[in-house]
Amino acid sequence: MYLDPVLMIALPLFAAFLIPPLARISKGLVKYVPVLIIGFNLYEMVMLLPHSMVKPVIVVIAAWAPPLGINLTIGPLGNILALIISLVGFVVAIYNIRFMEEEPNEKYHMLFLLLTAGATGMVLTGDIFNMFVFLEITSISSYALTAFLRDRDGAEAAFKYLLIGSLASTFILLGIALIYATTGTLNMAQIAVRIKDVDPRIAIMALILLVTGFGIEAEMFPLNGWAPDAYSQAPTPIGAAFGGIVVKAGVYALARLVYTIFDFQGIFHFILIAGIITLLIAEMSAIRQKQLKRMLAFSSIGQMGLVLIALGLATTRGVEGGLFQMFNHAMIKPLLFLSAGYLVFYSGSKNIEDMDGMGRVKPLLSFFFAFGAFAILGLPPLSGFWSKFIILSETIRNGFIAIAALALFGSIIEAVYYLRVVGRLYFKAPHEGLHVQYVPKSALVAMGILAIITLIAGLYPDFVMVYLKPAAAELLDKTVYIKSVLMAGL
Amino acid sequence: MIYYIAAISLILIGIYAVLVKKNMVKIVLGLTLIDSGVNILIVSLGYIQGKTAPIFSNPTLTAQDMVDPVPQALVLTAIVIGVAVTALALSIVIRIYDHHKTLNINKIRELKW
Amino acid sequence: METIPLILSILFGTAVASYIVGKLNYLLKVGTSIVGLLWAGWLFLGLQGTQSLYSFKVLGFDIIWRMNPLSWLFGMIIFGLAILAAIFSGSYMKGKERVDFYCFAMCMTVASMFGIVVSGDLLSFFFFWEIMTWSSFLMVIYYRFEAQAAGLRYFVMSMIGAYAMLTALLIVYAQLGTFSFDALSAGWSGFSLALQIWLFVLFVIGFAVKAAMMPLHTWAPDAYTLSPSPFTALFSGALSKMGIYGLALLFFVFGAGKLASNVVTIQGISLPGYILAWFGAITALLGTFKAIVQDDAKKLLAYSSIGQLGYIILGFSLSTSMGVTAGLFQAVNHAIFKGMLFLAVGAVFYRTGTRKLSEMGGLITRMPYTFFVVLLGIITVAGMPPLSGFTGKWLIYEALIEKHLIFLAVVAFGASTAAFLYLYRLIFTIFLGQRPKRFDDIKEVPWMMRAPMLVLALLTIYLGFYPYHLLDLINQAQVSMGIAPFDLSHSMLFNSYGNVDTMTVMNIVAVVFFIVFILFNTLYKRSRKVGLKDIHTSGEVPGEEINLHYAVDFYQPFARGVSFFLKRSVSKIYASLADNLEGFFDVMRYIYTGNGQTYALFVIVALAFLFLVKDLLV
Repeated sequence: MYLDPVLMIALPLFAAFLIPPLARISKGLVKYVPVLIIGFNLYEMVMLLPHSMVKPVIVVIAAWAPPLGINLTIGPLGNILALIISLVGFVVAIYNIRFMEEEPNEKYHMLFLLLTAGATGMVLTGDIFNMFVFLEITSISSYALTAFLRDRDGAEAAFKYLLIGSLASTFILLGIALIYATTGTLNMAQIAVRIKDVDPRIAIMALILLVTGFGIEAEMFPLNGWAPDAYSQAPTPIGAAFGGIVVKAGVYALARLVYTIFDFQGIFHFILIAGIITLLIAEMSAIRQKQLKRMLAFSSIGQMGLVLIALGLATTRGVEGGLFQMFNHAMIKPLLFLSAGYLVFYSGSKNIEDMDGMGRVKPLLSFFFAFGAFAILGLPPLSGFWSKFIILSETIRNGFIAIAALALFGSIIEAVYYLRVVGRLYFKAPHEGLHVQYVPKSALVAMGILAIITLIAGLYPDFVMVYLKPAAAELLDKTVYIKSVLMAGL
Repeated sequence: MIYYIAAISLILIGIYAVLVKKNMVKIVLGLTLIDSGVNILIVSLGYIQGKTAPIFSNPTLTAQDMVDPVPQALVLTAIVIGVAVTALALSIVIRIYDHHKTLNINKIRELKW
Repeated sequence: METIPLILSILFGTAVASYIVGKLNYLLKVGTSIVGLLWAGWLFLGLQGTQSLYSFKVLGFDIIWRMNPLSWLFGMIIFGLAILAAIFSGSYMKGKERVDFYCFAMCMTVASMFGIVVSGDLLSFFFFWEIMTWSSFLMVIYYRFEAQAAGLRYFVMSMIGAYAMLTALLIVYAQLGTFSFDALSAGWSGFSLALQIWLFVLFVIGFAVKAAMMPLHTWAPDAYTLSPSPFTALFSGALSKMGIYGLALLFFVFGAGKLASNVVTIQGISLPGYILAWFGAITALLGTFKAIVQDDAKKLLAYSSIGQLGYIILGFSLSTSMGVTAGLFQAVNHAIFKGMLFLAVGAVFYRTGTRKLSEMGGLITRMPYTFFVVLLGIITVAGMPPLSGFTGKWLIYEALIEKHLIFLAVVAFGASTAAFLYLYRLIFTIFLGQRPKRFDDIKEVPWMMRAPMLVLALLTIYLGFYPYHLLDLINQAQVSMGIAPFDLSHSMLFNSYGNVDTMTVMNIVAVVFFIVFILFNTLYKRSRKVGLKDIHTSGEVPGEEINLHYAVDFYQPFARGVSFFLKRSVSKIYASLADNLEGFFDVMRYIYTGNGQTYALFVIVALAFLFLVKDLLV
């Protein structure tokens, strides 16, 4: 039984602003709020799943029926992504319980809740301007979180992120303005209906502006300069949240645009090519990184490149593979970031060189990192294998053998740098004077959840695929989406 | 028409500032300019010459006589967002200045490659 | 439950269980893996001759697991070696660190290899292939950080091979819409010639990496040397055979053998097969030459292993009934003798703590059992009667001569003869000659290590006398691959030139052996016993402390002779290629200049670019 889905956005927003006053009463209580609220979101999403799989759940807000008011449209795709976001958010919130203890931690938890709420809103809303607003909520809290540690580099990274992010929002806003000027509506389903009558020259301009804007969030190649800095300088759980939450919302928006709203075929080739370039450049950049988290950031960009390739194929199986890859990446990259967080913490340095021998000192932590590395490389029987396999098989089936070969080449580079780190963790003697401490149970639980999901999804991929199939179908056949939104008012 | 030209030139000036100016405060100003330009653009989209505000202040008014209210709602939201971003940007600039003692963006590149 | 999935679950379960249980107690983890392997092996034996088939769907792909005589043959190699190696490790790994990890990776490798041989479709084949790669990679890097570079090289080469294979199998899927072997063998001839050649090349790259064929062998020497010895036995004996199994599939199941009808044939074999045969022959020759100049016992065996696999590839690529028989026979044989040699060298290492041949010597009196095993091993490798290696090599030569491939035969024969050099070096420098003082009081290895070696040693003797027991199995496998069975009845091997009766050969050898043995022990008993250190040089008696060791620079003239030949090492080319590539990659990341404004510029440029090409986006 699920409650009103609006609560999934309202509750986190409410709770986020409740946190500062709550912190005055009890500092200790604050850190459990995100766990509780996002846990509720997770519950909601799981409960909604059987309903949305059958037919999109349309939530009409304040009696303004769809084409007019803002509405939530929870189709299979939105539901899956919101589920992923809540799951990652939940796990990161558990991890946060003991990670953020000093600092003004209530602000941290508040911003984290805002980030999750914004991302959830982005994937659930049916209104394009509303999506923009949620994107801004997500972005602003991300900027603030990037600079949260108040150090030299955090501020620098946050400024770059903010600079590029503002440009993104400007482009998106311009694109929305163009769409509104020509179609006279902001409801995505109705835009999709009316865009056919719009002069294609204007429509393509709107599309370009929107693709550029959301491409920045989705870490497409020339637009992703902010990503490595922001990932590596933000507090580690936030790096995990960027990979698992923010980027996923960006990719969702991109997919919604090119699949549901617009009707241009050429853009798919652009996304395909942008995907392979993103992947290659990111993997090449990662190979000689000195800092662990920066390396993970580049790897994250590379994985998103693979997702873009899948989305650019525009075939049912390709999109399924892409969604599966998004799911896997949302599970594995946080796992890597979360374990890297404590590796960095205990070795007292961000550099890969200083991770030597952590496998002896912190076996479980290193195990999680190695597990994540193996999973992201796509080694069976972990889940990364299947998504990569589907994407590549679909790429080749569509005749893009060269792209598949380049993607495989990227995978080999990825294997080299990940295994170098894993080798250091396990097979080098630890440095003298490591202050070995005990890893909080909450962090281990968080990582354990992700690792178990990765393993289960690898051994029994159909378990995930069952839910991804309708989501892919929703993207490829927009009529269902449009019809169910526009009929909701009647 | 004049609104469109003004809006687009504002955006272009803003982009120029963002791309060329080295002072980070000026870059933030540039961002604000782009923001304002976009806002003006959106408002002018909804504006129709000789129409009035979409309020039934006068019983003879019909919907045809009114300007489109939605862009104004959008712009209001966008302004709020813009303010938030600017405030955050400036506070980050202050933080950067504290650490680096400079506002020149070319000198703030410790995170690279 | 069906037998095949049951066996797979037992094996994978054993891997996980031995890791988890292994945290508790040493005996438990080794015990778990041995019991698991024995149980699975027992079930596997029951599968002989059955046509067990099990299929299900994953993500809409059909997965087929089946058993046929060819799979059974390779499965037998896997289980035989795995069980013996596990028993051997029980004693060998005692007191070592990370034994749970060791057991895990070992059982995982065995499980994945079994998965490979039962796979009836390309998807599960590739799935298990990848598991095999990473689990064996874990074994290569098991020891130290120094093994990292070698491990990474192994992994990267394997990945290149695996991805070549992946590309090929995805192309097949794109063409046929299914991964099953049956569909592929039916559909292969429908592909265009160019596609056939591409697929052939990609698949061969994939399999050749595991089979360590030149020029893709560079990972093998280091990987073999650095992995723990019991695992090396499995590595060289069984894991490299997966490459051979793949080639067998490619030629006879996938239907690449049919390329012959389309492409030029040379002396009755298809051009691709002919080229592959030369690769095999050159691999055999180079591997042997490299082996001769090694001073590290395991490295020597590793190169020898590369050379022997060259023979097997040579046999296979002929695609004749006799060639395939020879290849399969030699594959089983190689598993046995390389298994026992690696175990024996491991045993020596266990006691002496060194693999350097020049540091050892005179261990014959201290480790007689091991000596016996190595002796039998080198006789087999050399292909001398009366042991099983004789039959294997004999078949290969015959298969070559039958096709009038004189040059290949000469190369193969030359490599085989040269093999005596390193084999002699191996046994002489370890067991004969002077014993360094520090090894004076070492003992023979425990029975738990002796037994597996001896079992393998007895097996070579047995197969030397009764090769047809194995040949029968091979014939069944060949029938299942659609090749005419090799003509034989009991100990008689028939071919176009005449017949060989292995029994007669063995009997003659046995008789001669006994005559000579008796002669030496009766007539020439007047030999003078001398102490080990009783030597003179130029009229001077060197003192005890000067240990004039024969094994230092053992084949110096030979090494000098072939140095021009070995200097241009492929691995160096690869290393410099990798370095340059990495340097190039490193340049790429300078795109991320660190200046926020540059990033903003990128964004604007990207936007402008999109506006420029907007007509393409419609």
